[in-house]
Amino acid sequence: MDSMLLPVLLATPTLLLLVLALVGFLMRYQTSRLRQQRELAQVLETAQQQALTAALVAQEDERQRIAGELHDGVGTILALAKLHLYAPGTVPAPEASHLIDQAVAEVRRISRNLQPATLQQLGLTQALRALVQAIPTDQGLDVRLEHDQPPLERYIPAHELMVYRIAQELLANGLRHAQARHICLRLKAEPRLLTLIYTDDGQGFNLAILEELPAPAPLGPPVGMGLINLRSRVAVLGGQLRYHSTPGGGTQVEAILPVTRLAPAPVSPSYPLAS
Amino acid sequence: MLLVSTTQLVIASEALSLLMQVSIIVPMVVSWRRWSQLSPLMRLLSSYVYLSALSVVAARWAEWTHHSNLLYLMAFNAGKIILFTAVYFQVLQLRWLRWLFVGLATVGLLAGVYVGLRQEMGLMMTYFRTLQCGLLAALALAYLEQLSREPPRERLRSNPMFLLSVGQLIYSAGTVVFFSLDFTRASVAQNKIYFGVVAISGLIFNTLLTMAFLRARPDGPETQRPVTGS
Repeated sequence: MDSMLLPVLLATPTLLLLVLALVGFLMRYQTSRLRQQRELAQVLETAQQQALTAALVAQEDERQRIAGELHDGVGTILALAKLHLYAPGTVPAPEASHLIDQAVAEVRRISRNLQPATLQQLGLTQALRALVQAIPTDQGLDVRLEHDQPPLERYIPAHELMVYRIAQELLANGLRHAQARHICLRLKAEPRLLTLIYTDDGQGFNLAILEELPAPAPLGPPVGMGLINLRSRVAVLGGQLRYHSTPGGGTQVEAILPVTRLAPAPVSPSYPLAS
Repeated sequence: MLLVSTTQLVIASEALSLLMQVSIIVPMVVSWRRWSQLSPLMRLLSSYVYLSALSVVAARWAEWTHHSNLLYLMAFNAGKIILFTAVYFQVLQLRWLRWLFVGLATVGLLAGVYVGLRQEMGLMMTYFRTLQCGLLAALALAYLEQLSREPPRERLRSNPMFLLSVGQLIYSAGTVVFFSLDFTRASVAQNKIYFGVVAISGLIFNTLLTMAFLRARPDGPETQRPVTGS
Protein backbone atom coordinates (compact mmCIF):
# COMPACT_ATOMS: atom_id res chain seq x y z
CA MET A 1 0.00 0.00 0.00
CA ASP A 2 2.86 2.37 0.83
CA SER A 3 4.28 1.88 -2.65
CA MET A 4 1.03 3.33 -3.96
CA LEU A 5 1.25 6.42 -1.80
CA LEU A 6 3.31 8.48 -4.24
CA PRO A 7 1.20 7.79 -7.36
CA VAL A 8 -1.91 8.45 -5.28
CA LEU A 9 -0.52 11.70 -3.95
CA LEU A 10 0.38 12.77 -7.48
CA ALA A 11 -2.70 11.53 -9.30
CA THR A 12 -5.31 13.22 -7.09
CA PRO A 13 -3.99 16.79 -7.37
CA THR A 14 -3.47 16.24 -11.11
CA LEU A 15 -7.07 15.17 -11.54
CA LEU A 16 -8.26 18.08 -9.43
CA LEU A 17 -6.22 20.52 -11.50
CA LEU A 18 -7.70 19.05 -14.68
CA VAL A 19 -11.21 19.49 -13.31
CA LEU A 20 -10.50 23.08 -12.27
CA ALA A 21 -9.01 23.86 -15.68
CA LEU A 22 -12.06 22.38 -17.39
CA VAL A 23 -14.49 24.34 -15.23
CA GLY A 24 -12.47 27.53 -15.66
CA PHE A 25 -12.40 27.11 -19.42
CA LEU A 26 -16.15 26.46 -19.53
CA MET A 27 -16.90 29.53 -17.42
CA ARG A 28 -14.70 31.78 -19.57
CA TYR A 29 -16.19 30.34 -22.75
CA GLN A 30 -19.74 30.86 -21.52
CA THR A 31 -18.96 34.41 -20.33
CA SER A 32 -17.54 35.33 -23.73
CA ARG A 33 -20.62 33.82 -25.44
CA LEU A 34 -22.88 35.83 -23.15
CA ARG A 35 -20.94 38.99 -24.02
CA GLN A 36 -21.19 38.22 -27.74
CA GLN A 37 -24.90 37.61 -27.38
CA ARG A 38 -25.34 40.96 -25.62
CA GLU A 39 -23.34 42.76 -28.30
CA LEU A 40 -25.38 41.11 -31.04
CA ALA A 41 -28.62 42.12 -29.31
CA GLN A 42 -27.29 45.68 -29.07
CA VAL A 43 -26.42 45.72 -32.79
CA LEU A 44 -29.87 44.39 -33.64
CA GLU A 45 -31.50 46.98 -31.42
CA THR A 46 -29.51 49.76 -33.07
CA ALA A 47 -30.44 48.46 -36.53
CA GLN A 48 -34.09 48.29 -35.50
CA GLN A 49 -33.90 51.82 -34.13
CA GLN A 50 -32.32 53.07 -37.36
CA ALA A 51 -34.96 51.32 -39.46
CA LEU A 52 -37.69 52.84 -37.27
CA THR A 53 -36.17 56.29 -37.61
CA ALA A 54 -35.92 55.87 -41.37
CA ALA A 55 -39.55 54.73 -41.54
CA LEU A 56 -40.75 57.69 -39.48
CA VAL A 57 -38.62 60.17 -41.42
CA ALA A 58 -40.03 58.76 -44.68
CA GLN A 59 -43.51 59.11 -43.22
CA GLU A 60 -42.88 62.76 -42.33
CA ASP A 61 -41.43 63.43 -45.82
CA GLU A 62 -44.49 61.90 -47.39
CA ARG A 63 -46.78 63.97 -45.17
CA GLN A 64 -44.88 67.10 -46.18
CA ARG A 65 -45.24 66.20 -49.84
CA ILE A 66 -48.98 65.52 -49.53
CA ALA A 67 -49.46 68.74 -47.55
CA GLY A 68 -47.68 70.68 -50.31
CA GLU A 69 -49.74 69.00 -53.01
CA LEU A 70 -52.96 69.77 -51.16
CA HIS A 71 -52.05 73.39 -50.55
CA ASP A 72 -50.56 74.17 -53.95
CA GLY A 73 -52.68 71.84 -56.08
CA VAL A 74 -56.16 71.29 -54.65
CA GLY A 75 -56.18 74.61 -52.75
CA THR A 76 -55.32 76.60 -55.87
CA ILE A 77 -57.91 74.75 -57.97
CA LEU A 78 -60.60 75.45 -55.39
CA ALA A 79 -59.66 79.13 -55.25
CA LEU A 80 -59.87 79.31 -59.05
CA ALA A 81 -63.23 77.54 -59.02
CA LYS A 82 -64.58 80.15 -56.63
CA LEU A 83 -63.28 82.95 -58.85
CA HIS A 84 -65.09 81.40 -61.82
CA LEU A 85 -68.24 81.11 -59.75
CA TYR A 86 -68.28 84.87 -59.20
CA ALA A 87 -67.02 85.81 -62.66
CA PRO A 88 -69.00 88.63 -64.38
CA GLY A 89 -72.05 87.32 -66.24
CA THR A 90 -72.46 84.13 -64.20
CA VAL A 91 -75.47 83.34 -62.05
CA PRO A 92 -74.50 83.54 -58.37
CA ALA A 93 -74.68 80.15 -56.60
CA PRO A 94 -74.27 80.76 -52.87
CA GLU A 95 -74.57 77.04 -52.02
CA ALA A 96 -71.75 76.10 -54.38
CA SER A 97 -69.66 78.94 -52.96
CA HIS A 98 -70.33 77.73 -49.43
CA LEU A 99 -69.33 74.19 -50.39
CA ILE A 100 -66.09 75.46 -51.95
CA ASP A 101 -65.34 77.43 -48.76
CA GLN A 102 -65.90 74.26 -46.74
CA ALA A 103 -63.61 72.30 -49.07
CA VAL A 104 -60.89 74.99 -48.75
CA ALA A 105 -61.17 74.91 -44.96
CA GLU A 106 -60.99 71.13 -44.96
CA VAL A 107 -57.93 71.12 -47.23
CA ARG A 108 -56.25 73.65 -44.92
CA ARG A 109 -57.08 71.59 -41.86
CA ILE A 110 -55.70 68.40 -43.42
CA SER A 111 -52.64 70.24 -44.66
CA ARG A 112 -52.03 71.77 -41.21
CA ASN A 113 -52.34 68.38 -39.57
CA LEU A 114 -49.96 66.83 -42.02
CA GLN A 115 -47.36 69.55 -41.73
CA PRO A 116 -47.85 71.94 -38.82
CA ALA A 117 -46.62 75.28 -40.14
CA THR A 118 -46.81 76.78 -36.64
CA LEU A 119 -44.19 74.34 -35.48
CA GLN A 120 -41.70 75.44 -38.09
CA GLN A 121 -42.40 79.12 -37.65
CA LEU A 122 -43.07 79.58 -33.93
CA GLY A 123 -41.73 76.50 -32.24
CA LEU A 124 -43.01 73.68 -30.09
CA THR A 125 -44.86 75.64 -27.40
CA GLN A 126 -46.92 77.64 -29.86
CA ALA A 127 -47.59 74.61 -32.04
CA LEU A 128 -48.80 72.61 -29.05
CA ARG A 129 -50.93 75.54 -27.91
CA ALA A 130 -52.50 75.68 -31.37
CA LEU A 131 -53.04 71.93 -31.23
CA VAL A 132 -54.75 72.13 -27.84
CA GLN A 133 -56.87 75.12 -28.90
CA ALA A 134 -58.02 73.27 -32.01
CA ILE A 135 -59.70 70.60 -29.86
CA PRO A 136 -63.46 71.30 -29.69
CA THR A 137 -64.55 72.05 -26.13
CA ASP A 138 -68.29 72.26 -26.77
CA GLN A 139 -68.99 69.04 -24.81
CA GLY A 140 -67.48 70.38 -21.61
CA LEU A 141 -64.02 68.95 -22.23
CA ASP A 142 -61.22 71.00 -20.72
CA VAL A 143 -57.83 70.61 -22.40
CA ARG A 144 -54.90 72.58 -21.05
CA LEU A 145 -51.27 73.05 -21.92
CA GLU A 146 -48.84 73.84 -19.10
CA HIS A 147 -45.21 74.65 -19.59
CA ASP A 148 -42.32 76.31 -17.86
CA GLN A 149 -42.02 80.04 -18.11
CA PRO A 150 -40.70 81.45 -20.40
CA PRO A 151 -41.71 79.36 -23.43
CA LEU A 152 -39.39 76.56 -24.44
CA GLU A 153 -36.29 77.11 -26.43
CA ARG A 154 -36.14 75.85 -29.98
CA TYR A 155 -34.93 72.35 -30.67
CA ILE A 156 -33.70 70.86 -33.92
CA PRO A 157 -36.67 70.50 -36.33
CA ALA A 158 -36.62 66.68 -36.36
CA HIS A 159 -36.87 66.58 -32.55
CA GLU A 160 -39.54 69.28 -32.38
CA LEU A 161 -41.60 67.41 -34.93
CA MET A 162 -41.19 64.13 -33.07
CA VAL A 163 -42.24 65.69 -29.73
CA TYR A 164 -45.19 67.33 -31.49
CA ARG A 165 -46.26 63.99 -32.97
CA ILE A 166 -45.96 62.32 -29.56
CA ALA A 167 -48.17 65.01 -28.03
CA GLN A 168 -50.59 64.66 -30.94
CA GLU A 169 -50.73 60.91 -30.44
CA LEU A 170 -51.27 61.25 -26.69
CA LEU A 171 -54.10 63.71 -27.18
CA ALA A 172 -55.66 61.61 -29.94
CA ASN A 173 -55.55 58.51 -27.74
CA GLY A 174 -57.01 60.43 -24.82
CA LEU A 175 -59.83 61.89 -26.90
CA ARG A 176 -60.58 58.54 -28.50
CA HIS A 177 -60.52 56.27 -25.46
CA ALA A 178 -60.28 58.10 -22.13
CA GLN A 179 -63.76 59.67 -21.89
CA ALA A 180 -62.15 62.32 -19.70
CA ARG A 181 -63.45 65.74 -18.61
CA HIS A 182 -60.02 67.22 -18.04
CA ILE A 183 -56.88 66.64 -20.04
CA CYS A 184 -53.59 68.30 -19.25
CA LEU A 185 -50.43 68.31 -21.29
CA ARG A 186 -47.38 69.51 -19.39
CA LEU A 187 -43.93 70.26 -20.75
CA LYS A 188 -40.88 70.28 -18.50
CA ALA A 189 -37.56 71.30 -19.97
CA GLU A 190 -34.23 70.29 -18.51
CA PRO A 191 -30.84 70.51 -20.15
CA ARG A 192 -30.88 68.02 -23.05
CA LEU A 193 -34.14 66.54 -21.81
CA LEU A 194 -37.77 67.34 -22.40
CA THR A 195 -40.47 65.68 -20.34
CA LEU A 196 -43.96 65.55 -21.75
CA ILE A 197 -46.59 64.60 -19.20
CA TYR A 198 -50.09 63.75 -20.31
CA THR A 199 -52.73 63.48 -17.59
CA ASP A 200 -56.45 62.81 -17.80
CA ASP A 201 -59.23 61.98 -15.35
CA GLY A 202 -60.81 59.44 -17.67
CA GLN A 203 -61.65 55.78 -17.33
CA GLY A 204 -58.03 54.59 -17.27
CA PHE A 205 -56.98 51.13 -18.31
CA ASN A 206 -55.30 47.99 -17.11
CA LEU A 207 -51.54 48.31 -17.48
CA ALA A 208 -51.23 44.55 -18.06
CA ILE A 209 -52.65 45.15 -21.56
CA LEU A 210 -49.50 47.09 -22.41
CA GLU A 211 -47.35 44.05 -21.70
CA GLU A 212 -49.24 42.07 -24.32
CA LEU A 213 -48.52 44.57 -27.08
CA PRO A 214 -45.71 43.49 -29.38
CA ALA A 215 -42.53 45.52 -29.64
CA PRO A 216 -42.46 48.02 -32.53
CA ALA A 217 -41.03 46.46 -35.67
CA PRO A 218 -40.66 48.60 -38.78
CA LEU A 219 -40.68 45.65 -41.15
CA GLY A 220 -43.30 43.63 -39.29
CA PRO A 221 -47.03 43.63 -39.85
CA PRO A 222 -48.94 46.73 -38.74
CA VAL A 223 -50.20 46.09 -35.23
CA GLY A 224 -52.15 49.27 -34.52
CA MET A 225 -51.48 52.92 -34.31
CA GLY A 226 -52.10 54.29 -30.80
CA LEU A 227 -49.75 53.11 -28.13
CA ILE A 228 -47.41 51.26 -30.45
CA ASN A 229 -47.00 54.34 -32.63
CA LEU A 230 -46.27 56.33 -29.51
CA ARG A 231 -43.77 53.79 -28.30
CA SER A 232 -42.02 53.78 -31.68
CA ARG A 233 -41.64 57.55 -31.74
CA VAL A 234 -40.29 57.63 -28.20
CA ALA A 235 -37.90 54.82 -29.12
CA VAL A 236 -36.66 56.79 -32.12
CA LEU A 237 -35.65 59.63 -29.80
CA GLY A 238 -34.10 57.12 -27.41
CA GLY A 239 -36.49 58.20 -24.68
CA GLN A 240 -38.55 56.49 -22.04
CA LEU A 241 -42.28 56.08 -21.75
CA ARG A 242 -43.92 55.54 -18.37
CA TYR A 243 -47.56 54.74 -17.84
CA HIS A 244 -49.53 55.16 -14.64
CA SER A 245 -53.12 54.09 -14.91
CA THR A 246 -55.79 52.10 -13.11
CA PRO A 247 -59.25 51.28 -14.40
CA GLY A 248 -61.47 54.19 -13.34
CA GLY A 249 -58.55 56.19 -11.97
CA GLY A 250 -57.40 58.23 -14.96
CA THR A 251 -54.16 57.96 -16.84
CA GLN A 252 -50.78 59.60 -16.69
CA VAL A 253 -48.22 59.06 -19.42
CA GLU A 254 -44.76 60.45 -18.99
CA ALA A 255 -42.48 60.67 -22.00
CA ILE A 256 -38.89 61.54 -21.14
CA LEU A 257 -37.23 62.60 -24.35
CA PRO A 258 -33.60 63.43 -25.02
CA VAL A 259 -33.62 66.45 -27.34
CA THR A 260 -31.01 68.65 -28.95
CA ARG A 261 -31.27 72.42 -28.77
CA LEU A 262 -31.06 74.37 -31.94
CA ALA A 263 -27.73 76.14 -32.22
CA PRO A 264 -28.28 79.91 -31.88
CA ALA A 265 -28.13 81.74 -35.17
CA PRO A 266 -24.91 83.71 -35.64
CA VAL A 267 -25.39 87.30 -34.60
CA SER A 268 -25.07 89.59 -37.62
CA PRO A 269 -22.94 92.68 -36.93
CA SER A 270 -24.96 95.87 -36.57
CA TYR A 271 -23.70 99.30 -37.40
CA PRO A 272 -24.92 102.73 -36.33
CA LEU A 273 -26.97 104.53 -38.97
CA ALA A 274 -24.41 107.23 -39.27
CA SER A 275 -21.68 104.94 -40.42
CA MET B 1 10.41 13.59 6.20
CA LEU B 2 7.03 14.42 7.64
CA LEU B 3 6.63 17.45 9.88
CA VAL B 4 3.66 15.92 11.64
CA SER B 5 3.31 12.50 13.17
CA THR B 6 0.97 9.77 11.87
CA THR B 7 -1.14 10.10 15.01
CA GLN B 8 -1.62 13.78 14.39
CA LEU B 9 -2.58 13.07 10.78
CA VAL B 10 -5.08 10.44 11.89
CA ILE B 11 -6.66 12.85 14.39
CA ALA B 12 -6.84 15.59 11.78
CA SER B 13 -8.34 13.19 9.23
CA GLU B 14 -10.92 11.97 11.75
CA ALA B 15 -11.87 15.55 12.54
CA LEU B 16 -12.20 16.35 8.85
CA SER B 17 -14.32 13.26 8.24
CA LEU B 18 -16.59 14.17 11.12
CA LEU B 19 -16.86 17.75 9.89
CA MET B 20 -17.76 16.54 6.39
CA GLN B 21 -20.42 14.21 7.76
CA VAL B 22 -21.93 16.92 9.96
CA SER B 23 -21.74 19.52 7.17
CA ILE B 24 -24.61 17.83 5.33
CA ILE B 25 -26.88 19.63 7.83
CA VAL B 26 -26.11 22.93 6.06
CA PRO B 27 -27.61 22.03 2.62
CA MET B 28 -30.41 20.26 4.48
CA VAL B 29 -31.39 23.42 6.37
CA VAL B 30 -31.03 25.53 3.23
CA SER B 31 -33.31 23.18 1.29
CA TRP B 32 -35.92 23.43 4.07
CA ARG B 33 -35.76 27.20 4.16
CA ARG B 34 -35.95 27.56 0.37
CA TRP B 35 -38.40 24.73 -0.23
CA SER B 36 -41.01 26.99 -1.83
CA GLN B 37 -38.37 28.34 -4.24
CA LEU B 38 -37.13 24.92 -5.32
CA SER B 39 -38.13 23.43 -8.66
CA PRO B 40 -39.33 19.78 -8.66
CA LEU B 41 -35.86 18.80 -9.87
CA MET B 42 -34.12 20.51 -6.96
CA ARG B 43 -36.63 18.98 -4.58
CA LEU B 44 -35.65 15.58 -5.93
CA LEU B 45 -31.99 16.51 -5.48
CA SER B 46 -32.68 17.50 -1.88
CA SER B 47 -33.35 13.79 -1.18
CA TYR B 48 -29.58 13.43 -1.27
CA VAL B 49 -29.14 15.25 2.02
CA TYR B 50 -31.46 12.78 3.78
CA LEU B 51 -29.76 9.81 2.09
CA SER B 52 -26.39 11.14 3.19
CA ALA B 53 -27.46 11.95 6.74
CA LEU B 54 -29.21 8.61 7.17
CA SER B 55 -26.19 6.72 5.83
CA VAL B 56 -23.86 8.55 8.23
CA VAL B 57 -26.03 7.66 11.22
CA ALA B 58 -26.53 4.06 10.07
CA ALA B 59 -22.83 3.58 9.27
CA ARG B 60 -21.76 4.96 12.69
CA TRP B 61 -24.27 2.79 14.47
CA ALA B 62 -23.19 -0.30 12.50
CA GLU B 63 -19.53 0.48 13.22
CA TRP B 64 -20.20 0.43 16.98
CA THR B 65 -22.52 -2.52 17.06
CA HIS B 66 -21.39 -4.86 14.26
CA HIS B 67 -17.82 -3.58 13.75
CA SER B 68 -18.53 -3.37 10.01
CA ASN B 69 -20.53 -0.77 8.18
CA LEU B 70 -19.71 -1.86 4.63
CA LEU B 71 -23.29 -2.80 3.82
CA TYR B 72 -24.59 0.66 4.78
CA LEU B 73 -21.81 2.41 2.87
CA MET B 74 -22.55 0.33 -0.22
CA ALA B 75 -26.26 1.08 0.13
CA PHE B 76 -25.34 4.77 0.29
CA ASN B 77 -23.24 4.50 -2.87
CA ALA B 78 -25.95 2.60 -4.72
CA GLY B 79 -28.60 5.09 -3.56
CA LYS B 80 -26.41 7.99 -4.65
CA ILE B 81 -25.94 6.46 -8.10
CA ILE B 82 -29.70 5.92 -8.51
CA LEU B 83 -30.61 9.38 -7.21
CA PHE B 84 -28.11 11.34 -9.32
CA THR B 85 -28.91 9.32 -12.44
CA ALA B 86 -32.58 10.25 -11.87
CA VAL B 87 -31.65 13.93 -11.39
CA TYR B 88 -29.51 14.13 -14.51
CA PHE B 89 -32.10 12.11 -16.45
CA GLN B 90 -34.36 15.14 -16.12
CA VAL B 91 -31.87 17.70 -17.40
CA LEU B 92 -30.05 15.89 -20.19
CA GLN B 93 -31.57 16.75 -23.55
CA LEU B 94 -30.40 13.85 -25.68
CA ARG B 95 -32.75 10.95 -25.21
CA TRP B 96 -30.20 8.30 -26.14
CA LEU B 97 -27.72 9.74 -23.65
CA ARG B 98 -30.30 9.74 -20.86
CA TRP B 99 -31.10 6.10 -21.45
CA LEU B 100 -27.44 5.22 -21.90
CA PHE B 101 -26.77 6.48 -18.36
CA VAL B 102 -29.77 4.61 -17.02
CA GLY B 103 -28.45 1.48 -18.72
CA LEU B 104 -24.92 2.01 -17.40
CA ALA B 105 -26.16 2.61 -13.86
CA THR B 106 -28.38 -0.50 -13.94
CA VAL B 107 -25.68 -2.75 -15.40
CA GLY B 108 -23.08 -1.25 -13.06
CA LEU B 109 -25.21 -1.83 -9.95
CA LEU B 110 -26.13 -5.38 -10.97
CA ALA B 111 -22.50 -6.12 -11.72
CA GLY B 112 -21.60 -4.77 -8.29
CA VAL B 113 -24.05 -7.10 -6.59
CA TYR B 114 -22.66 -9.97 -8.65
CA VAL B 115 -19.12 -9.08 -7.59
CA GLY B 116 -20.23 -8.98 -3.96
CA LEU B 117 -21.92 -12.36 -4.15
CA ARG B 118 -19.14 -14.10 -6.05
CA GLN B 119 -16.09 -12.40 -4.58
CA GLU B 120 -15.94 -10.52 -1.28
CA MET B 121 -17.61 -7.55 0.33
CA GLY B 122 -14.44 -5.46 0.44
CA LEU B 123 -14.01 -5.72 -3.31
CA MET B 124 -17.67 -4.94 -3.78
CA MET B 125 -17.23 -1.78 -1.73
CA THR B 126 -14.27 -0.67 -3.86
CA TYR B 127 -16.24 -1.46 -6.98
CA PHE B 128 -19.29 0.58 -5.86
CA ARG B 129 -17.17 3.55 -4.89
CA THR B 130 -15.26 3.53 -8.17
CA LEU B 131 -18.48 3.09 -10.12
CA GLN B 132 -20.01 6.02 -8.26
CA CYS B 133 -17.03 8.25 -9.05
CA GLY B 134 -16.87 7.27 -12.71
CA LEU B 135 -20.59 7.37 -13.45
CA LEU B 136 -21.36 10.59 -11.58
CA ALA B 137 -18.34 12.31 -13.16
CA ALA B 138 -19.57 11.16 -16.59
CA LEU B 139 -23.06 12.52 -15.85
CA ALA B 140 -21.57 15.85 -14.75
CA LEU B 141 -19.36 16.04 -17.85
CA ALA B 142 -22.33 15.22 -20.11
CA TYR B 143 -24.29 18.07 -18.51
CA LEU B 144 -21.37 20.50 -18.86
CA GLU B 145 -20.97 19.52 -22.51
CA GLN B 146 -24.68 20.17 -23.01
CA LEU B 147 -24.30 23.59 -21.38
CA SER B 148 -21.47 24.49 -23.76
CA ARG B 149 -23.73 23.68 -26.73
CA GLU B 150 -26.80 25.60 -25.52
CA PRO B 151 -27.16 29.33 -26.15
CA PRO B 152 -26.16 30.97 -22.87
CA ARG B 153 -29.05 32.34 -20.84
CA GLU B 154 -27.28 33.58 -17.74
CA ARG B 155 -24.03 33.28 -15.86
CA LEU B 156 -23.07 29.68 -15.10
CA ARG B 157 -22.59 30.36 -11.42
CA SER B 158 -26.33 31.07 -11.20
CA ASN B 159 -27.20 27.64 -12.55
CA PRO B 160 -27.70 25.13 -9.67
CA MET B 161 -27.08 22.14 -11.91
CA PHE B 162 -23.76 23.63 -13.03
CA LEU B 163 -22.73 24.06 -9.40
CA LEU B 164 -23.79 20.51 -8.63
CA SER B 165 -21.86 19.20 -11.63
CA VAL B 166 -18.71 21.06 -10.61
CA GLY B 167 -19.10 19.66 -7.09
CA GLN B 168 -19.58 16.22 -8.52
CA LEU B 169 -16.44 16.48 -10.67
CA ILE B 170 -14.30 17.79 -7.82
CA TYR B 171 -15.57 15.07 -5.52
CA SER B 172 -14.92 12.38 -8.11
CA ALA B 173 -11.45 13.71 -9.00
CA GLY B 174 -10.51 14.01 -5.33
CA THR B 175 -11.72 10.56 -4.35
CA VAL B 176 -11.46 8.22 -7.32
CA VAL B 177 -7.82 7.28 -6.72
CA PHE B 178 -8.39 6.51 -3.03
CA PHE B 179 -11.64 4.71 -3.72
CA SER B 180 -10.08 2.50 -6.37
CA LEU B 181 -7.41 1.25 -3.97
CA ASP B 182 -7.99 -1.98 -2.12
CA PHE B 183 -8.54 -0.43 1.30
CA THR B 184 -8.65 -3.84 3.02
CA ARG B 185 -4.89 -4.15 2.55
CA ALA B 186 -4.16 -0.81 4.16
CA SER B 187 -3.87 -0.22 7.87
CA VAL B 188 -6.63 1.51 9.79
CA ALA B 189 -4.39 4.56 10.21
CA GLN B 190 -3.64 4.75 6.50
CA ASN B 191 -7.31 4.45 5.66
CA LYS B 192 -8.15 7.23 8.06
CA ILE B 193 -5.54 9.50 6.50
CA TYR B 194 -6.84 8.75 3.01
CA PHE B 195 -10.36 9.48 4.09
CA GLY B 196 -9.23 12.80 5.46
CA VAL B 197 -8.43 13.78 1.88
CA VAL B 198 -11.76 12.31 0.75
CA ALA B 199 -13.45 14.42 3.42
CA ILE B 200 -12.00 17.61 1.93
CA SER B 201 -13.58 16.69 -1.44
CA GLY B 202 -16.83 15.92 0.37
CA LEU B 203 -16.76 19.30 2.11
CA ILE B 204 -16.30 21.05 -1.25
CA PHE B 205 -19.18 19.04 -2.67
CA ASN B 206 -21.47 19.94 0.23
CA THR B 207 -20.53 23.61 -0.15
CA LEU B 208 -21.41 23.56 -3.85
CA LEU B 209 -24.61 21.64 -3.10
CA THR B 210 -25.58 24.34 -0.58
CA MET B 211 -24.85 27.01 -3.20
CA ALA B 212 -27.00 25.11 -5.69
CA PHE B 213 -29.94 25.19 -3.26
CA LEU B 214 -29.32 28.87 -2.57
CA ARG B 215 -29.31 29.76 -6.29
CA ALA B 216 -32.29 27.58 -7.21
CA ARG B 217 -35.43 29.27 -8.55
CA PRO B 218 -38.81 27.76 -9.37
CA ASP B 219 -38.25 28.62 -13.06
CA GLY B 220 -34.46 28.29 -13.10
CA PRO B 221 -32.48 27.22 -16.17
CA GLU B 222 -32.21 23.69 -14.85
CA THR B 223 -35.97 23.30 -15.24
CA GLN B 224 -36.00 24.02 -18.98
CA ARG B 225 -35.39 20.85 -20.92
CA PRO B 226 -36.95 20.45 -24.38
CA VAL B 227 -39.31 17.50 -24.64
CA THR B 228 -37.74 16.23 -27.84
CA GLY B 229 -34.17 15.23 -28.55
CA SER B 230 -32.72 12.01 -29.80
